[in-house]
Amino acid sequence: MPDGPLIVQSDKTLLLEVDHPRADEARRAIAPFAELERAPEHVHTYRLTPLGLWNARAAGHDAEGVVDTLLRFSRYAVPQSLLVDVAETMARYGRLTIEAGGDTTATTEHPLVLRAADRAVLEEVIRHTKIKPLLGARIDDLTVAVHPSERGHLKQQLLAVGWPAEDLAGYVDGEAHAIALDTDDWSLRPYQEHAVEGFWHGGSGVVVLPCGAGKTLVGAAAMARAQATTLILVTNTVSARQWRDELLARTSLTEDEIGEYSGQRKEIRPVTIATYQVLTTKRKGVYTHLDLLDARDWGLIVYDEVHLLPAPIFRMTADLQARRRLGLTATLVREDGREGDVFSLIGPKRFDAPWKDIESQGYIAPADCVEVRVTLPDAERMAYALAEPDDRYRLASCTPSKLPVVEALVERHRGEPTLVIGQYLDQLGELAEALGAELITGETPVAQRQRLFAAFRTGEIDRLVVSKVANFSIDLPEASVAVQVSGTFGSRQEEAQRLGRVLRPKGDGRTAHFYTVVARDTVDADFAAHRQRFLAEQGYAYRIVDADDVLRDA
Amino acid sequence: MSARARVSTAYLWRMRESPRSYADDLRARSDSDLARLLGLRPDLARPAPADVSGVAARAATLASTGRAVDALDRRLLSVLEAAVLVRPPVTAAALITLLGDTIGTRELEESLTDLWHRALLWRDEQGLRPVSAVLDTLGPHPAGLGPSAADLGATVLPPDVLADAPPEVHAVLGVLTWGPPVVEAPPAGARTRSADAVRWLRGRGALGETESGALIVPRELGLTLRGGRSHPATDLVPPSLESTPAPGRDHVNAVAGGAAAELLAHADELLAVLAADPAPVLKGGGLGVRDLRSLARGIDVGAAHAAFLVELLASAQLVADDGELEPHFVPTADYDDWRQEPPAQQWARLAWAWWTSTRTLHRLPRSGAGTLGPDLTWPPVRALRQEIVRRTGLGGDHAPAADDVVALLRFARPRRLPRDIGDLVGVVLDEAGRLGVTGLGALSDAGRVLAEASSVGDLGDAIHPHLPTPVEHVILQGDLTAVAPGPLTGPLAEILRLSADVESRGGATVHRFSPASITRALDRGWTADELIDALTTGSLTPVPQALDYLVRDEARRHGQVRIGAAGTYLRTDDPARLAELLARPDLALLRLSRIAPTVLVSPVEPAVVHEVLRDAGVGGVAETASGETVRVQRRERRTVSRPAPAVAHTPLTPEVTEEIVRRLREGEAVAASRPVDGRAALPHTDPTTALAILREAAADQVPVWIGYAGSSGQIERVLFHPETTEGGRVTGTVKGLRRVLSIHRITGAAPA
Repeated sequence: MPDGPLIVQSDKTLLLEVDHPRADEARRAIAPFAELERAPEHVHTYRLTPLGLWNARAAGHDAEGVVDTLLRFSRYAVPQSLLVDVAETMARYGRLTIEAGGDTTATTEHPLVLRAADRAVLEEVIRHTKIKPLLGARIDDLTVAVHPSERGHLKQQLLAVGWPAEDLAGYVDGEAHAIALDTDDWSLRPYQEHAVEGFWHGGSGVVVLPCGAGKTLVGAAAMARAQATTLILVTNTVSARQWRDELLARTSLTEDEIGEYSGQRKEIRPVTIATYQVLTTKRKGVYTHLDLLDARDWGLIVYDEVHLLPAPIFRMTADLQARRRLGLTATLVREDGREGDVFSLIGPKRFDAPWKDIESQGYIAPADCVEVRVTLPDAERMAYALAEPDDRYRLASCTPSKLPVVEALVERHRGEPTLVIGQYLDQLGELAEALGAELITGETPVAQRQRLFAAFRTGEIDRLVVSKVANFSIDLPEASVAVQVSGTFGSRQEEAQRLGRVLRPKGDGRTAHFYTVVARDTVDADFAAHRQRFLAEQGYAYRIVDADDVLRDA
Repeated sequence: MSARARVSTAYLWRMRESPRSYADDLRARSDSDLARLLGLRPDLARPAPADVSGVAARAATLASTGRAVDALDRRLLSVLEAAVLVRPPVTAAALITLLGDTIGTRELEESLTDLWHRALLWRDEQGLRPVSAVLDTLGPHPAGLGPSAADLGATVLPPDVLADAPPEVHAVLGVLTWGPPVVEAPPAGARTRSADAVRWLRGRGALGETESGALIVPRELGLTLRGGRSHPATDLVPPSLESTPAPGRDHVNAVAGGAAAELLAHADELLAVLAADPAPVLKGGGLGVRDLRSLARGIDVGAAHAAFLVELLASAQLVADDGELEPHFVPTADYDDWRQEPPAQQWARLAWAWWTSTRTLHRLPRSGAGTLGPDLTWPPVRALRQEIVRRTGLGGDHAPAADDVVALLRFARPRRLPRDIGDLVGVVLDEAGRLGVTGLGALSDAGRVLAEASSVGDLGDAIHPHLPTPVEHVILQGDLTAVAPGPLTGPLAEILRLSADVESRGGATVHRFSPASITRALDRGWTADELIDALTTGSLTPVPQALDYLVRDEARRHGQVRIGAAGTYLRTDDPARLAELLARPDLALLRLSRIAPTVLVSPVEPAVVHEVLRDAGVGGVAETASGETVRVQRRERRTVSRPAPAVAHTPLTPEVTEEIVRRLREGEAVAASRPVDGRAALPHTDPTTALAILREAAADQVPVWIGYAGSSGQIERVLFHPETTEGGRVTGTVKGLRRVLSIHRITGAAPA
């Protein structure tokens, strides 16, 4: 024990020394219950959170196992209070269960009941003002009826009061529909299979895979397991088309079986792909497309990019608790802090694989992250100093002095598929003109967008300038260089997505390059510090260079 | 008190010992027995009594007897209670029938001997008997049993009648079984079940009646209800800790060492926070809730832990009120020394401060209001804390829960536990865990040393082997963190404290570099190269490019704005005029210097500059203060430590008691040589002893010799027949004349 790879901190973080001979063993042992928070080069930080511990309980791990793992790998004595806390937290999950009624005479008339393992817990929660209205008649000391329509809300509220319920009420099978994977020339990667297994045994839940690790295929495989009509919810139309293309290529589904439900088309077929946007469109204060959710007897609902799930979708999901739900995401971190809703409404985490692990298995490309700092000319510095705080970011990130740097970078990688990503359309327009590249923005018609993407994919064009519409769910298999000129205030999520753009495995295994051009001594650089931290925490080598060096090399 | 007690204990086997006979018992004891008595009842030894009679007089007082009874554990108390219930002389055989065979005759004999050693029982020709003050101390119903049926004029119910009694009678008697045996009589004509039961019992004459009309269960009935025993068997056997978990010794010590190291880290950080930002003292003393919370946030712990830390540091005199006009809590000068000590010594100081502190947090509200305030001082806590820790250690390697310790305490000192003992034990055990006095709930090796220690002495050596091995290197990472995989020592610790912020604590420490923290180091005069060199030397891994860049980038920006101090500035739009002023030798005393083409500064204050310029014929107009430069230098404040006046406590060591006994014997010899007519000077007795002697004499209606300081200051020596003592006065007759004397004027008293 005194020489373990793990240091358990009293603030509930776990420090894992990566170079330790037993580091891999320890990593596998703690992965089920600890969230990887940072993975820089030498010491990785995991955190014990109630949600993480409950996820572990949901996956069948018990407190004894967790405590034993901590003791086994810890270098120093584990603080007693932490062990007690772990045991207490884990003991809270599953004390309450939501079950289908009818198995005993007492509950026959109630389709859904909340059952407690001990009476004190039940008495505590049923007295809660927010929980009381969700419950029906008291059946006996340990059981109370639940209005079936409140299954989701109840789970949300129980989580909020710290007594997460285990949902054992089961799922409807849904309308059967034959779906098979078409694995003639490819097969699922091992981790994808594990992900599907993990999800299926859990019933509902979230699969966490890095960008580029093939989340779509996990969705397809889950559909093949379910053998039922499926509703797929995605972030935008482009993403919807990609799902469709992927499903056509990898499964037995035909065009007639796949419908698109978006702003342009309203098709409802056995497998329907809908965008969050259309579902959350309100007309005269009501959601007009909610019928879709009841349009068929769906057997499976797939949520793409769970971390972006908008609030209205959560509310709708609360009413869909009887259907199997699969969440797909690269990160459980939500910038709005609604991780608890994901846990209670979609389900616990069923599978997780850190980027680095998948990268080391060769499924995603290694990346070289470089921050290039440009110095503002004096006139701009003065303008910046005098600008309103609201305008400062725009002023700094759109400085013309970034232009030659971007040109130099793109030139350096001539012939390699290169994306220039930015936030401000004016700046992107200038860049497109200077680079002689096509520009894709939110205004670009879908047809043209797809044509350009196709051309980019085939290598017909090797550079594209894209706005933030490209952040999510476009698939550019051969982009190996990304140059970021401005972003959404250093959002971690956006950074993950943009990095994902260049992390698809390359045919020749070469390194991907990820450049961020920032203006020195401005808020732009401050935001860059956030991104830098994020990337370093994800374990990517991160360098900072001066624009002069880039220009001199060019 | 005494009036009521005297009336209601009248039925007990009260045979007022004549002071002489009680004193004779003491006098007849061997030197070692006397020394033992003084050791067991320290209040008899201080102030040192003049002779054995003085000891006897003092020992027979209600106050001293009360203290002695309070010191008994539950078994001895039970034996003593049983002893007052039997007709003297008290024998083991008589007690066995009351106490049952839970303890054997031999143990019982030992208990009786122990009580005799404590002078709660004394021996005359017939055998052992209780001191009469014991009866008053134990109250009217010792062991919760009433007077005997004969004393009450009640009848003893035959067992078969009792067995056939209606159920409500059994219900009522069930409530009265373990006492107190007194019950309010139900109003006449009440038709409740309990009233019926009482009627049934009274109808058979089974209950006695007190003077106030309440009903009382006779002793015989009480004993029958208890199955013939005066005490439950559990009162006679101490609770065992055998069933509590017993974690391994090494594990206990490792956890304790880890806790100690963490405590030191937190203490150090807390002191640093207070040094940089002293916390104001509230008007009523103490720390405000908001300030406590911000301290807690500053070191990333809960408010409760912060309260514990800051109290501990104050007890260790590392933090104190600086006594300024606007008082603040700041580190004391001792802090600077403490910081230089090795961790084990630092721990020793804190642990000893905790061990001897008279402050307690168990009555602190959750909000933490009152931390460092005057209300938390509660002197009994020191002895209780020490006892709690020692009792925790009694189980050897066992880790008793708070409830187990409370049970032990209830057995060990049944009569003098505070009501909230449960809370106190919880808090003390929690604090012991945080200090590393316990690990996993069992007393650690360091804790054992502490429990036996009489001074801070070599406490440090006790914890030293269990503290985590210090490290002198860190791991630098690309996300701008430095991880020290153990307690960091050496120069690097200081560098990191300066140039990084602590992000996570525990076995390891995670430091994070940020522009602000790097600037802090640069402010202290470090250069980028020095900083990088120091980090390179102290790091196991190469300095990441991002960190290197951060340091150099901050260094580049650092110092672009210059700050200085000046007493006065002189400004004008005419640079030539300033040049002239600079060149004038008669203004040299102003030490003018040019900081901009149109600005001169002088360290001299404006009024003087103004005057000098006017004398030199230059003139000038003074500006309002709005443009004055401000001194920004910041000094950390320190105050002297003001040790709280320590409650001096010299333990009664065998040497001390022997010495007292030796003097007692000398006193005896002097008393013996006193002429029989009592003409020799009276020994000087303290008022307590004098009062006791007078009281006993009044009860026995015998005269005493007293020395009385008259209004002229002369000490008159009279044979006094005391009658009553009340409120510091004693009434009696001298040579047949009634006199009322003030006790405080009685310089000495001796039985005639």
